[in-house]
Amino acid sequence: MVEISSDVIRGYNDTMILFILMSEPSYGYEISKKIRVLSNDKYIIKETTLYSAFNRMLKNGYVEAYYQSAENGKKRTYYRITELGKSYYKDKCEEWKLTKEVVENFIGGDN
Amino acid sequence: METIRNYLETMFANLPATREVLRAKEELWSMMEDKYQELIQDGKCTNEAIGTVIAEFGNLDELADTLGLSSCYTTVSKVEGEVVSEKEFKKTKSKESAKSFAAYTVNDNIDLNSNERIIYREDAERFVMDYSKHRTMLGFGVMFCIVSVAGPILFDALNNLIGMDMFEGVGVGVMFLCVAIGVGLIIMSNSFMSDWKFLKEENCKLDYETKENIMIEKDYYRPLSKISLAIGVACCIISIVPMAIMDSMFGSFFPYMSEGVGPASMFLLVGVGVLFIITSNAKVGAYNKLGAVNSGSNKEN
Repeated sequence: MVEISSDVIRGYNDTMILFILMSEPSYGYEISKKIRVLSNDKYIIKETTLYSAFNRMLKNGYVEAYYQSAENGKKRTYYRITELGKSYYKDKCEEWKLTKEVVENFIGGDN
Repeated sequence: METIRNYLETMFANLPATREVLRAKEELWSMMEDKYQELIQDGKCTNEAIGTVIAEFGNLDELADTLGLSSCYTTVSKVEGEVVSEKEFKKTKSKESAKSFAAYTVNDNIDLNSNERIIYREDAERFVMDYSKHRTMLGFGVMFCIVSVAGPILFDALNNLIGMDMFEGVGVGVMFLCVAIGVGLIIMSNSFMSDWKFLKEENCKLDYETKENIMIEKDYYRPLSKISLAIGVACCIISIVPMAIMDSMFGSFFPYMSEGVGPASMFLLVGVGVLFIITSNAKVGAYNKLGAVNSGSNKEN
């Protein structure tokens, strides 16, 4: 069974998270769940990978973090995308389109 | 839930309890908790839920870069549910979460259990470079001060050679110039160490990998340091020789040599010798200072 290459997907973890944050701020597990759902269960992001991505993007200024209490009282860290994050996301989209275009030339068809 | 918490605690058991590490642990716990709750709500049994959460957790190597740790802290091997580290580390019992969402500051590197600041490899390397530069500049500064005396000696002898007094002022001027340069260099040499004052003021400790590296590098530089010291001492000892030679060769025939160049070259040689002596301690001294940082606090090594 063919699986997603972790090397390739590593370059786009940030992009996936930022895409989710473009619509609304969210927290750890919710983002992890959305990634799984949006990828049709083909990609399940690991907790450590996700946390590393958050940390990296916080340091780069692509997201901001804040606390919010849920109805049951649980305090969660929410992440919100910044303007810098939005522009980084756009760049990554362009990068992917280019990558896809280039690699597509070398992929054998099913015929 | 206990099982998951225990799993997390075990994974983090070998990491230093800095704020950044604790923050990571709390956030990871929050995510694991949420995932577990939802799996249970979806109808999974406890064991299945626990299994899924743990399987999808990932490994700490990814976190190593993020947390600024060397990966030797996070390399663990699992033996029948027991986590055994590949190297021996100081085991820190993890505290409960740091509640504040602190900004990313230098304070993140403090081990909250022993309240010591942790010095990693990059810091240590920078320290060694700064200390070497400091010693080198200091060496040159002292050399200039010593050599400054040669100025008046030379020009005084020149005066006698020519028979006129025109060079007396020049000689003294050269001396003061050299002293000024020398003192300036000595003062500037201290600027290299200004970043590192905290080593004396705060309790610090080295992380494990850095400590090992320091030992290796110190042994590597030791021969060089000894050679440099030997050259320096030799220069100081033979500094007399030119003067003695010139005295016996030229004597009173050519006083410029025996009374001018001779003594001047002695001071020059002593200056160069002292430079070698001071700089011989540059690298090895730096490593010794770093090594001393650890000895006060770490009793388990």
